[in-house]
Parts: sequence; C-alpha cells; structure tokens
Amino acid sequence: MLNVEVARPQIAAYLSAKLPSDDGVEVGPLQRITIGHSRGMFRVDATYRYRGEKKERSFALRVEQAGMFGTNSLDEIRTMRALRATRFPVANIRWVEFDASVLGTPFFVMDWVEGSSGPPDDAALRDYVQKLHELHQLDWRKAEVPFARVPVVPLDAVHQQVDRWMEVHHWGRVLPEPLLEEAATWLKHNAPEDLGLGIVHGDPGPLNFIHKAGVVQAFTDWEFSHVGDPNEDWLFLGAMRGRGLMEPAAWRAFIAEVTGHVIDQGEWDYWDVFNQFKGACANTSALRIFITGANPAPNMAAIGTALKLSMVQRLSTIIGQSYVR
Amino acid sequence: MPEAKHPTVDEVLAGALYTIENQLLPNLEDTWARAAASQLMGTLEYARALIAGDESVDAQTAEVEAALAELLGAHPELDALVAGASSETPGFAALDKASRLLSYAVTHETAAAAAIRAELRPLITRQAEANLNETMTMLKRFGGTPRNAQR
Repeated sequence: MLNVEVARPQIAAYLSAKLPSDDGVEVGPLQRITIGHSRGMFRVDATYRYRGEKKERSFALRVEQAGMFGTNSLDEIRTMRALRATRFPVANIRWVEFDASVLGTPFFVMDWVEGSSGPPDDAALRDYVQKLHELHQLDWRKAEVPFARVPVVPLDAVHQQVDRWMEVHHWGRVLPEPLLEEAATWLKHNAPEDLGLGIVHGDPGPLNFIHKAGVVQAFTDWEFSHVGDPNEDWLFLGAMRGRGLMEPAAWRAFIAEVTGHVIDQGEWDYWDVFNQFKGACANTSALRIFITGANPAPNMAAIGTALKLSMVQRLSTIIGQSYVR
Repeated sequence: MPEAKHPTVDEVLAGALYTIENQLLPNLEDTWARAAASQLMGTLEYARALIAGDESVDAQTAEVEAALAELLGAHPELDALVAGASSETPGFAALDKASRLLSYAVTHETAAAAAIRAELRPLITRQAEANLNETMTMLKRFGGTPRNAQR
C-alpha cells in the first residue's frame, strides 16, 4: 500500500485531473491532521494557474486505513452529502475515489473548513450541543439519508447496532472475548423501554467538530453515524470523548440545560455500557490491522489491545454491578 | 541455563527506547510524528515485558479449562450450551465456551447461571484485567510525550 504521507506527487496528479488548471496543480507538503485514528486525515494546499490567474485552494484529504473500525467511506460519504443537503454543517465533499491505483486505498477530498478542532470555548460548546440536538431531531426519513441499516422500531436499532459491532469484533479478534459476548446479550436483554429514534452521529465530541468564533462550522468523522437512540450520542459525548472538558455529571447537567433533554441514571448507565461495548468492538479491528501488517503503526497495537481492554473493564464492571442489584 | 547471544533482544529494545527518547523525540517538531514516536516507545516497552514473561496464553487457557470442567461437572445441563463450540485452538475453544456460558447467565436465573456468575465470571474478569495491565505501557504512551524528552 502506498504511504500517503509521501504521496504528494500522486495527489498533485489527481488534483491536476480534477481542477481546471492551465498546466497542472502543485501540492505543498502534506500536513497530517492529528485527530482520529480511523482515517488518515491531511491538509492539502494546492496552487495552480487558470486562464493565467494564480489560484490557491486548500482541501482535506480523508483516507481509509485497511478497514479500521469496520467502517467504509461510501456510507460516510452518503450520509455527509445527504445531511449537507439539509443545511446541517458538514464539509463539502468534492471528489471521491475508490480506484486503489491512485493512493492504494479509497479516499475522498473535502473543501477545507477554516476554524479549529481544538478545545472549544463555552459559546462553541453550547452551539455544538444545540446542533447535535438538532441532528437528533432531524427528520431522517424526509432527509432520505441512505443509511445501510434502517430499523423498523427503536428496539430494532439497538439489536442492529449490537450485531453490527459484534461483527466488527469477530472480524478483528484473535481469541473470543467472553466479556464482550456477555455484554452483547446484556445490551439486548436490558435495553430501555423508552427508546427514541433519530440520526446518531456515533462519535461526537471535541476534536470531531470545527468551530470558529464560538460557532460550529462543521461536524466531522461521520463513519459511525446511523439511526438509533440519541442517548448513544449523549453518553459518548459525556462519558467518553468529552471527559477532557467536563466530568460526566457536569455533562449530564449541561446537556439538560442546553437542550432540555434529561437522561435518567438508568439510561445513563445503559448507554455507557453500550458505548464502551461499541468502542471495544471497534478497537478490536486495530489488532487485526496491526498483526496483518496492513497498518503496522504502534497506535494500532495500543488501540487493539490496551484501549480495547480498558473499555472491556469498564463495561464488565457496570454489568457486574447489575447482577448484585 | 543457556548462555545468551549478545546483544540480546532486551538489550536491542532498551537501546531503541533510549534512542527514541533522547535522540529522536527532542528533534521532532511535527505533532503526529511525536505522538507516533511516543506510541512506538509504548510498544517497545510492551515487547520488553513480554519477552521477560510469558508470551503464550496457555496458562490462562488452562485456568479457563479447569473452571469450565468444574462448572460442567456440577451442572451437566450446561453441556448443550457448549456443544459445537469452536475448536480452532485450545485457547479459542475455551474462551468460546466461556462466552456462551456468560451470555446464558445474563438471561437466566438458575443455579447454573448463578454458578457461572460466581465462579467463571470472576476468573474471566481477572484475566482481562491482567491482559490490560500487561498492555498498559502502550496506553500510557498513547497520547503523550515523555517529559524528559521535551525541548
């Protein structure tokens, strides 16, 4: 597989075929965007002349990494384009490429969105939580988002997602993980009765949105999105990705204050287990990717072992507590 | 005890760790490269621990097999649950059976289910915790840069 870090000539040639330039496109050094492990993300600065006039444009290049997390670009692109059509803040996708002869792996190119994906200020955080709530309320049937799986009833969504993540785990595992198999059954058996259905981002929180001057410019990293219960997102934000900003109890209060959406303790615990399960299953894929050499970078080894096991430990603790209640 | 060839694997790994920390990291500016260097140190530390201990899962498999034999002996009604379990390798087979039993115990309130929760589950949980501790060096290095390697 081509090393994208040094694929500047290939990317320049690709953009030369896509952009209307007089004599080809030049590409500056690729800048790795240090967020996320599921995809390689790079800033691409392109310069070219068109009808004698100098042009400068920046793009974000998003490259698949050997099946990491069991997700694929096609589902992500479809979701992003459909949501952008509803005017939800999503980056504009310019080009999609599935031909492996270009970079060795599928990728897509988005218009660069100015702003920061770093720690948000209070205004940006409020705007983010409000917009995430709006995403959950969006009429996904009307928006015709072409999700790969569409649940018939809310409980169906839970089963679909549990099965989806077990498939990813089974693909990545070297040995069975009894505590994850137990968790899959536990999640189906203990699903809350009052489930909702909406568009779930699946990986919400700091580093996965771009903000500028207190306003969210774009939600990023859509590969986990699906139709399901919005509490999956709120717990992912409040108990996992957002913990660097606030403790879970503070998140719970903040979400209620901004959106009016109140999550009771039982729901909170359930969706905490769900997200730990999802994370552990997804992270198992990194182990296969590492040991097969598809991506032998050390972050793959850490994600596929210790990070996965830390999530297994968390979920097995909560499940163990449910047995003694 | 056999006499080792030098440099040993551990000496090579220790040298690689020293070099990354003291010669490469202080001269790396790119954030992604610095993170990768730190993560590489975590995997090398894991490798050092692994070659100094037990690289196989055989001891854990034997523990699970013993717990399964005891459970199935006391609760023969569980035999049907583990029948047809994968026999890919002894470790795979044992953990596949353990998976089936833990899943059964989620949805049943029988004496056998209680025994699974009381006897098998603590063993599986303890082994998972041991595996986490063994790989923890990688997690500790995951997002950070060693303090003494800062410019």
